[in-house]
Amino acid sequence: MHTEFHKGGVRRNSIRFLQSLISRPEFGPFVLLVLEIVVFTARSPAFISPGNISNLLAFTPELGMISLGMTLLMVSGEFDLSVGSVFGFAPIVMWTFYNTHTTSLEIGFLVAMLISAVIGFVNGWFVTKLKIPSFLVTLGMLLVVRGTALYITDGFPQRTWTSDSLLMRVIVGEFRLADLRIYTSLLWFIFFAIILGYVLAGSKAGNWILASGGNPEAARARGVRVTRTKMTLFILTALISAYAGITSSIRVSAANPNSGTGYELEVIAMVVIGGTALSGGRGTIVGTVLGVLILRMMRNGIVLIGVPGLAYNIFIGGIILGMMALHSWLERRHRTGT
Amino acid sequence: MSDELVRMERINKFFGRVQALSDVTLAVRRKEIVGLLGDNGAGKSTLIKILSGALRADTGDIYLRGNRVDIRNTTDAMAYGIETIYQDSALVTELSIARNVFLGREPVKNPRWLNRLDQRLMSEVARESLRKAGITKEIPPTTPISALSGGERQAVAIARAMHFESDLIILDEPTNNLGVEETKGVLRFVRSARDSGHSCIFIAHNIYHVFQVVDRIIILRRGKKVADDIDPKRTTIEAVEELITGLEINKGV
Amino acid sequence: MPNKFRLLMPILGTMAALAMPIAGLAEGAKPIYYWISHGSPTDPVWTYFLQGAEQWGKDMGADVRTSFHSGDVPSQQEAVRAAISAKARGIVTSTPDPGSLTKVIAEAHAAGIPVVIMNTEDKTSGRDAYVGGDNVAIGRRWAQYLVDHNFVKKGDFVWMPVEVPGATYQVLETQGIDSVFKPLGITYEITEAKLDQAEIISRMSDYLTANKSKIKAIIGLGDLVTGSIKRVFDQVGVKAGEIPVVGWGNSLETAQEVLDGYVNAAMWQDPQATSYMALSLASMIAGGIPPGFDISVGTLYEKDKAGTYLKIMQGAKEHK
Repeated sequence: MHTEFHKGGVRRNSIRFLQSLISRPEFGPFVLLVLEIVVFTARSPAFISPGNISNLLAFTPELGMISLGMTLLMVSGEFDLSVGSVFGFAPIVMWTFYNTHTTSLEIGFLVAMLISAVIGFVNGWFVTKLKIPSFLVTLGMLLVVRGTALYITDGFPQRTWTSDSLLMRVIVGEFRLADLRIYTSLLWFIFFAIILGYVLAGSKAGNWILASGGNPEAARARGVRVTRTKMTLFILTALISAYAGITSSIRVSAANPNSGTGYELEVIAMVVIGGTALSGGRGTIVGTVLGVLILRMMRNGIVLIGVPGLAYNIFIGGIILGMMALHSWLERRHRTGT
Repeated sequence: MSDELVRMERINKFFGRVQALSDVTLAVRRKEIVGLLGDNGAGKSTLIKILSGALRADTGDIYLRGNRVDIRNTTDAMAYGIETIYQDSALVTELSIARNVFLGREPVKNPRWLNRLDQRLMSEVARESLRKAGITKEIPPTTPISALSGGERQAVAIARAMHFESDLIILDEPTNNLGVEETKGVLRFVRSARDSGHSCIFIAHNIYHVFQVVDRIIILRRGKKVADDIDPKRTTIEAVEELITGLEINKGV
Repeated sequence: MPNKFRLLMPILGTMAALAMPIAGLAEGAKPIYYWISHGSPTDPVWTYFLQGAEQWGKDMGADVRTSFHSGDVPSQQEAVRAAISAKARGIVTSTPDPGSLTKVIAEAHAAGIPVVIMNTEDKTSGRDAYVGGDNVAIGRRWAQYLVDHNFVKKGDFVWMPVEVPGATYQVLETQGIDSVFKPLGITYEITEAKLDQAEIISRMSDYLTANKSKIKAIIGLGDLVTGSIKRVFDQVGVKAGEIPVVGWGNSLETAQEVLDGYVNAAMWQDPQATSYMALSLASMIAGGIPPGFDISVGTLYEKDKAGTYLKIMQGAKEHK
């Protein structure tokens, strides 16, 4: 009798644990991710081969990093369409400085980051001071930055070098972990995810970010520096996009003024699939990481199992619509339920 | 004069060519509950917004305990111990009760550079102040505001004002959209505020509510102060109504 | 809580359903080839390339897996590595940027998989063979054609619209053009037309309207821009032949333009044949026969031959 009672307790506890797990906003994306892995692996066992996992983990951190910055920005109630342009532009700046022997690679890197910070600042300034919606401001910035990249390069890709500088090894060096080939960019991505996850959920700044997106007027009335919070996040997003672009250019040995085209929408899709509200006030880093993995695996898996090239976007679009339906349904249930 | 907490002196405010306030002077003593009445557009909200830092006066001075102060924004006002509770509660509905109570003044754990929220302290304080504000139902402090009723939301706003030991709590239409029981809770709070050492400015459309709790009534009409020292115990609601609308003013004076 | 599952299930079910027919293709012990394009799926010429690849798969009984990457280098590298993971028998791909495939080609070779580059060459990439046109030579031929027919002389100005400046084909073509024009003192300007048909016409019309008197000849650096010449001329009010045009001729529109006299000469790059030959070469190399050669394609056709290519392309369309 005694043991039976104990068993019942354990079962009840595990049920409660399961319930709390299911009620988390990240549960939907998590199930989707697991299912995706199962389906792709069933279709092609090569999907979980060390080679393909290494492959998947190579490009994922680059889009992932932008998504992290975008998550905070979107939680604060804004978004940034210029991230893809900055992704392409920053490496152009760095390599142009280096290739023309103007500066060393390290200084070029700093200059590129600095210019990107200014881009973020200008975005933030237009949005918070001139009160223009971020959609319009960053759409304009997208064109300005992309145009500048094309103009200063005449459309030509910049030469990249595979010289073994310390900076390059730190940013995106290669090492092996058992059968996997890992880039240090993955470690940076994990590091940024932990830091920003902590900032959003556990810090005072995070409370300000959430409040700025949820109800900016109320937040301002309580003394939250909404303008400064948003400004900082615009700068952060631009910086992390620039860093991701530089990472990418070193890893793939290409600095093309067109690179990063369309990434802004991909990144916003990742963030939204991860459960962040487009209107702000709600979102988690864990959700975003799941969203990143879902879309990246979808892209990788579709090529791997051989979906006809032209049918590619049907899946991506389908997933996004499906997740949106799930979120809106959860939202409604949340509102009426309690 | 020594027990005077706040004095607003000859406040003028224009919106374009419209004069919203002209030469309004208002004083609140310590542990005093003042009712501020007036018709729509009389200038109540404007006056309160100036005091709470949401607006700035064109001319006029504000004194706090006899010292002239410059209230440039809401943060300044809060730093001076002036807390405002608006009718829409000014809460962030996506955030939890605890996070709302401490919004803008979050406690941070050591080491400070980590900027880490002291979530346990926040939860404890939130639970405790909710109880003090008259919520008997057990609501976990991690509950998002969106899941609360109107009265519970108002209680959170009040709990917030009480916790931070504000000297002056301004309640701007706090009983709007509330049920009977919830309204009682708010009125109970206003009465008890005096005992716990707070001063209050209470603004409401419902004169009955005001009569029940305040020590003194101030009336504004078209941006001017028309009465300053009405004792609710020695006057009638009808007399106050006349002053508010100004219809019988000549007879009264 | 079970409600959540109820909603999730149809979504997941749809996914699984979508995955089914694809699985049908992938079954059996068919040899797997990857055909990875840096082009855009909305670029008409790439649909001819794609047809060649699909035709080859059908003829050879092979599973040819295709994908488009629209110039996105990281995503294309990822696709090549996915092919390596899937143990492809051979990979056919096109170069988005010089040098951008060097690393992944080395990885494919390490896994014993041959890589053939089609359409856009990168000599230093380590590829096993190249099938396609020589873009520098093509640029040179266009420029030379204009010079030889006395359409341009010293001091003249040539307008060169392109879909996306910076694309490899544009870079190489411009090199070839420059090598002819520069010594002769002929100047040129490259303008961006974008990949969207409506936008291409609008941008080109704007530029032409503004610079009509100055432009002595036009070189269409891509298929979409060249195929838009008639519509641009009609909109701006330029008669066929008034301004000489050369450029790419891999679309029905351009072939028709050559027939109608809007375009003087157009380059046909045999897109289906390119894919077909590239996959054949990959298969041959995988079978142990090393290629000591590249396959060069491309013909500059004028009015007299335009009908032939028009027919090929119409045939290709009906065939599909």
